[in-house]
Amino acid sequence: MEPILQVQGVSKIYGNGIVANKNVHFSINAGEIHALMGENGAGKSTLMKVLFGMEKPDEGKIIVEGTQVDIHSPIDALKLGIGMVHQHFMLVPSLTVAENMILCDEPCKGPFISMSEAVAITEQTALKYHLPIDPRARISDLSVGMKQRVEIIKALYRHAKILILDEPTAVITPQESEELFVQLKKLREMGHTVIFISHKIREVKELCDRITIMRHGETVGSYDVDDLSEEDISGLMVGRRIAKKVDKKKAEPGKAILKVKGLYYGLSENRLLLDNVCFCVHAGEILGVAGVEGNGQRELVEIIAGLREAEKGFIYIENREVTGRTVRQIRDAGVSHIPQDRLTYGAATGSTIAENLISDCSGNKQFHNGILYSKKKISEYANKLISRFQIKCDSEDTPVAMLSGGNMQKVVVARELRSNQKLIIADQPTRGIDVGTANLIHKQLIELRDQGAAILLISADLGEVMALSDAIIVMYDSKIVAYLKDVPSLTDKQLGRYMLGVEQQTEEQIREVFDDE
Amino acid sequence: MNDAFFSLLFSSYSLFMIIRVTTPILFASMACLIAKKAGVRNITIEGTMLISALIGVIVSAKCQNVWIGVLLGMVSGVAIALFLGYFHLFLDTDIWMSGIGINRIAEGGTIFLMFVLTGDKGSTAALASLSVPDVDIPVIKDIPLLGDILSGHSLFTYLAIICVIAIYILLYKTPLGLRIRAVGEYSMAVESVGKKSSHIKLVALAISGLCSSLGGMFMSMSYASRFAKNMMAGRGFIGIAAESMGSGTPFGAAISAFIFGVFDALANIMQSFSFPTELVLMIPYLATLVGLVVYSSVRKLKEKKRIRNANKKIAKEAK
Amino acid sequence: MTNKRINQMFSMIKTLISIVIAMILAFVVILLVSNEPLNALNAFVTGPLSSLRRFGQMLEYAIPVALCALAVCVTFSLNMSTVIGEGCSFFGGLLATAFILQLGFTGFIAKTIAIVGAGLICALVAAVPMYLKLKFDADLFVASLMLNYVLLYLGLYILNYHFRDPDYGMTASYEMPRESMLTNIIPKTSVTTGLILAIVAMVVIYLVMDKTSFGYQIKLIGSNSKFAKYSGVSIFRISMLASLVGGFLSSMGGAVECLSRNARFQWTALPGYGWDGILIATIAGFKPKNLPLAVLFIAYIRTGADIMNRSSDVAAELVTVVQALMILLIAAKGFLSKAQQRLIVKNAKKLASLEGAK
Repeated sequence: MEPILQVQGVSKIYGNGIVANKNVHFSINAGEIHALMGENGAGKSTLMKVLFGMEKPDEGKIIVEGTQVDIHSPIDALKLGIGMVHQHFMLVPSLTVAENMILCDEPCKGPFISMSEAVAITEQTALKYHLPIDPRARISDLSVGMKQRVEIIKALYRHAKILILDEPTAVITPQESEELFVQLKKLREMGHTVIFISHKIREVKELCDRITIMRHGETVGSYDVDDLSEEDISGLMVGRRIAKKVDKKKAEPGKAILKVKGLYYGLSENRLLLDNVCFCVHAGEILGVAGVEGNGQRELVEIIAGLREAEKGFIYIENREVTGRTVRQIRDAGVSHIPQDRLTYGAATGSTIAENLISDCSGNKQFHNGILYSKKKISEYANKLISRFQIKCDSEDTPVAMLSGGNMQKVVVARELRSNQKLIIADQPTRGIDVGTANLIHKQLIELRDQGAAILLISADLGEVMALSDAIIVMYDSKIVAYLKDVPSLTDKQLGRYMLGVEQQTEEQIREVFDDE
Repeated sequence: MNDAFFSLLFSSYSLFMIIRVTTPILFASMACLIAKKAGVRNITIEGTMLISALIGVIVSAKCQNVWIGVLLGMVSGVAIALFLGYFHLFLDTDIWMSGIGINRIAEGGTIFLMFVLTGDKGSTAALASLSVPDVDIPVIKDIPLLGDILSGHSLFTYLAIICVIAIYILLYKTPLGLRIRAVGEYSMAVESVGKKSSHIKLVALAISGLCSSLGGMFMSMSYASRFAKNMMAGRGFIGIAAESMGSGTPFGAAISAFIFGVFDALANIMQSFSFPTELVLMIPYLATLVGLVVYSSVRKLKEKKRIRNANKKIAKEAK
Repeated sequence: MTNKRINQMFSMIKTLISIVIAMILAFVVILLVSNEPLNALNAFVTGPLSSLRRFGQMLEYAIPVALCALAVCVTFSLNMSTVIGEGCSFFGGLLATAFILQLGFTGFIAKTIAIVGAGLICALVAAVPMYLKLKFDADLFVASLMLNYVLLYLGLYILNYHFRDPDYGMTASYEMPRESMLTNIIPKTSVTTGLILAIVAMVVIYLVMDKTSFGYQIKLIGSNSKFAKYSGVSIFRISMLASLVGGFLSSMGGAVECLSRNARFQWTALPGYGWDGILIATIAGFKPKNLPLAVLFIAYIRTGADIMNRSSDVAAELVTVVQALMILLIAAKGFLSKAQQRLIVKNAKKLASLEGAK
C-alpha cells in the first residue's frame, strides 16, 4: 500500500543562514498515528510549516497520495486534505465556535449569515468525530483543551484527511490530554491520518503507531513504536554527543548569590508553569538548567531577570530580596541576561552594533566626557567586544540588522558577558551560533565563573549543559525533577531520561540544591 | 435669567438641536468603528468629511441637482478611504502619518479648490449650492411634544440613525461583517483559511469613507447651506473619541456620540446667554478628554482586577 | 557595497524623489489653474530671494516651525504620535505675552521669565496626554488632539477676559513694550534674537539626542521598546521627560514668534506650527542634524507660496497639499522598496556564500 504522504529530500535554509531542514526523508501511511519527535531546533516546526504551505522548501518533493504537489499556501494544503492544529490557535477569541468554524465559508440566507445552519454544521461535524463542543460558546470562554478541540473540528470540517498536531499536549491539562488521545484514536478508526509532534516520549509510546525522529534538521530514521523502548527513543533523540571538551578547573563555589524560593507562576489557563521551584546558584559556580523547552524555563528566566512578576515566591541576590523589582534595579544588583529570544528582546535591529552594546549601561560614566558621550570611548569599548567575540562586521557603526543571524547573537552575548557581574543568566547562549564562537562563549563563561560570578545556564543542548555545568537541575513539567551534583560521571542517556520525563529523583535529592542560610 | 436658560435647556427645541448636532458626530463615529473593527485606525475622518462636504456643494451647484451632488460626495469619500488604504496596506505607510498627511491635504486642498472655483477662501457663499431637504415624518410630526423633537430633521439625520442600525446588522449578521471582525481581531485566523486580510480591510475602509462623506455633507448641505473653511472644527476627531468610549459596539458609539451632541448643543445654547463663549466652546473637547480618561482608567482597573483574581485563584490552587 | 550604504542611499533617493514628485505636481497645478502661470511660478520659485524683506519673512516663519519640529524629533523618536505641538505653541505664545504684560518691568530678565515660564507650564501640559497613555492606555493621538482645542479656547478666554485691548480694532492683547520684545537682528525684517535661540536649540537638541544617555534611551524605546525594557530603561520616566522637553520646545516656538513680530498677541486660531513641525521632522527623518536643511526647504516653499498668493492668482494652500503629499511619500516604506529589497537580497546571498566558504 502506498503511503499517503511522502517527504523526500526536503531542505530549507532561512535567510539568515540557519539550516532548518536538511534532506528530510520520511513517509506516512494512511490511517496511522505517526509521531514526529525531536528536540528544539531539530527542524520539526519548519517541516510542518512547509507541509502546511506557510514556508517554501528550497529543495525536495512532497508527494500526497502518489502525486507530487506544490503547496504554496494553507489553502493549497487544505485542498490536499492536510489540516493543521497550530500551537497558537488560529481562532478569533471574541467569536463563537460556530462563527470560527464557518469563517470565510459562511452559510447564508439571502444577505445574512444563517447562524442556525452554522450551528447545525458545527454540531454535525462535532458529532461525527466524537468531539462534543458547544457551538454557541465564545472562544475566549473556553479552556485551552476545548480551544484545541475547536481547531481540530475546524480542520476536519474543511476536509482534512491528514491532521498535523503541533505539540498539542504542551498547553493542556493531563486530563484533557487523555481525552485528546481517545479522540485521536477514534479518528484513526475512521480512516484519518494523524501526525503527532511531541517531545514527550511516554505519550508517544501510548498513542502512536510509528515514529520519525529528527535531529539537527535531519531525519534520524522512522520506526515502529512497538520496536523501541523509551530508553531507545530518548537515546535516538539525544544522539551521540561529540564529547565536548572544555578545559576547566574544578569549581570552588562560594556563597549563594542567587536564591530562588518557592516560585510559582501559571497565569495561562489553569496550568502551572512553575511549581514550587527552589534552588541556589553560588559564586564561582555554573548551575545548568537542563530540560526541553516549554517546561517552565522561559518563565523562570524572565522572572529572575525582572521581565515578569512571580505570583508567589521570593528571589534573593546576595541575600537582598529582589522579588518584583524593576529590570533596572535587578541589573544594577549585578545581573546580566542573555535572552533566549535574542532578536525580539536582545537587540534593537534599527540601531548600530555600538548602540546595542551599551544598551544596558548607557548612562555609564566610562562612556562620557563630561555630560556628553565620547564617541571615541564608546567605539573603543565596542571594538574591544567586537574583537573579543569576533563579530564579523564592517565597523561598530554597522546597523545590527545588516549582520548575519549568528553575528547578531554574538552582539547580544558580547554585551552581557561582562566582568564584575555577580550573576549571569545565559538562556540558550549558543543556539544558532557556529562551533567556533560557541567555544569562545564557553571559555568566557568559565573565565567569568573563575572570577567569582554565579552563572545560571539554561540550555536544551545536552552537550553544552554537561560540558559547562558544575551542577545541573532538570526541569520537567514546571518542576525540578533532578539535582545532579556529579556531572563528570553523568551520561547523556541518563540526563535525557530526566529531561524527557522518564525518570525523576526523590524529593530529598532535589531539595539539596537549595541551601537556606 | 437663569430661569430662561434652564427652561430653554430642557425644551423640545434644545432636544431637537441635540439630535441635529449629533448627526455628524454619529457618522464620524460609525466611520471610525467600522475601520477599527477591521483593524485600521482611520484618523482621516475629519479630512474626508471636509473634502466630501466641498465636493457635494460644488457638484450640486454646477449640476443644479442636489442628489448628484450627494452621490459624488459619497464617491469622493470612498475614494479618499481607498487612497488611505493604498498607502497604508500596500505601501506600508504608518497609519498615523498617512492620517495626518491626508487630513492636511484636505485642509489645504479644500481651501485651494474653493479659491480656484469661487475666488473666496472663506466660504462657498458665491456658489449656488443646494441643500438636502428636511423631512417631516407624516404621522409623528403631529404628536404634541415628540413631534417637535423627532420630526423635521434633515434627511441626513435620519440616515445617520439608519446608518447605526445598518452598521450593526452588517457587522453582526452578514458574512462580510464576520470577516471584518475576524480580520481586525486576529488576521491570522482569516489568512489561515485562505482569504487576504488586506482585501477585507479595504472594503471596511470604503464603508468608513462613505460614512464620513455623509457626515461631511450634512454640515455643508443641511446644517449650513455652504462650505466654509475648516468647518468640521474637530467633529471628525470627536467622533473618533466617541467610538473609543463606546465599548467597540455601534450602539455604544452612538450613545457616546449623543452625549457629545449634548455638549455641543449646550455650547450653542450657552452662547446665547452671557456665558464666556470660549469656555463654552471648550466644553465638548474637555468633555471628550475627560471621558477618554475616565473610560481608559475604568478599563485599566477592570483589567488589573481580573488579573489579580486569576492570580489569587492559582495561588490558592497551588497550596 | 554594504547593506548600510544601500539603505542610506535609498533613504536619500526616496526623500528626493518624493520631493520632486510633489513639486512637479505643484507646478502642474499652477499651470492648470493660473491665468498667469509664469508669473505665479516665478513668484513661487524666486520670491523668497527677491528682497531682504521677503528673505526675512522666510526666516521668521522658519523659527517657530523649527522649534516645533525639534519637539517632534524628540517625541516621535519614541515611536509615539502626540500632536500636542499645536496647542503648546499657541498657548506658549499667549502665556509669554501674558507674562510680559503682567510683569512690572522690561528688559532681558522679563523676556527670559516670559519664555521660560511659558515653556515650563506648557511642558507640564504636554506631559498630560503621555501620562494618560502610559498609565491608562488612553489613546495618545486623540487625547493630545482634544487638549489642543482645550488650550485654544482656554487661551482665547484668557485673552478676551484678561488681556484684551478694547480700544484696538481686532481681537488682540494690549501692546507689549518694545523693550520686552526680542531684539531685531536683521533690519527691515522681523527676524529677532529668536533666530539665535532656534539655532542654539537645534544644536542643544542635536547633542542631547545624539550624544547623551537620555537621547539614546529615547531612540532605544522607539526602536524596540521590549528591548529597552529588557535593558533596564524606564519607559515611563524617559517618555515623560521627552514629553516635557517637547512641550517646552513647542511652547518656545510660539513664545518666540509672539515676542518677535507683533507687539500684540493676535492669534484667534491654532497657528499650524505643530503640523508643519511634524512634516518637517518627517522629511528630516526625525534627526536634528537634518533639520536645518528641511526647515529651510519648507520655509522656502511656504514663503514662495505666500508671495505667489499675494502677487498672482494662485492660493498659498497649494503648498499645504504639496507638503502633505511629501509626508505620505516619504513615510511610505513600501515606496521603491522592491528595488531596495532586490539589492539587499543580492548582497546577503553574497555575504552568506563568503561566510560559507570560510
